[in-house]
Amino acid sequence: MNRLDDEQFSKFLRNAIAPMDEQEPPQDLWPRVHLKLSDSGIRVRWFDFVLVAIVVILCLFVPEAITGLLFNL
Amino acid sequence: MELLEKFTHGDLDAFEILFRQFQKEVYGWIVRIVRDPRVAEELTMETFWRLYRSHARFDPTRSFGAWARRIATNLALDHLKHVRPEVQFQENRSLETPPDAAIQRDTRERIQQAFSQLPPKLRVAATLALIEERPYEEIAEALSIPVGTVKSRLFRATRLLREHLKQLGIES
Repeated sequence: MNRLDDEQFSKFLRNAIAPMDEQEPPQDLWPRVHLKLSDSGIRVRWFDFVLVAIVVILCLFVPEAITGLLFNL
Repeated sequence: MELLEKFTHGDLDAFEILFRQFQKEVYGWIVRIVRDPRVAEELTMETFWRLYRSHARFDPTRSFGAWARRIATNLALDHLKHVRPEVQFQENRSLETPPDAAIQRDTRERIQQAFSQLPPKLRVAATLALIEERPYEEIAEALSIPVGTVKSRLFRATRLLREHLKQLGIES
């Protein structure tokens, strides 16, 4: 094949690789996006609750520990 | 309060309205780049998830559609960087409109192969400009690059394609 000019070359490519038609998502994607957004919230793990509970109990039974905790904050 | 302002404050209802307004446009843009409806679906969801995550950074005086398209383009480009080139056209061929019958199947496959071996940045510019015939300004905005850079990427892509097709004996 002879060398094509840019316009011919572009047309040649389009004949080999057809442009995509105007397309719509096959389904409503909102429910999945909404779910993904809900799942991505901050999760507090049980270990964090245990730590908080230990600190609260410590402060209740050993009030002197409060100054130590504040010092380390 | 305007819809976009509500969105910048993280209002989920406002985001849903925006999602429904732009879902088709974003999906249509991504599918033109990745040429695979399944991948486009996933990337559309990822695009909107990122849009919502960055709601506070959005300037409501600017175009939401253009912002969405920029994020979608970056995600599609990242996808192309991580996918083996050979896989892309093989998966999509049956989903596209049939190309010109005048071009032999073998030749068509060789052209597709040459196209898929372009570096992703050049391939995106070439796909959007040469195959999808999108305006340079639109491509430049989506890729966050000047129009001159789009033209230079196209020039490099065309040169590489011509070299490749020459090696395959398709163009002299």
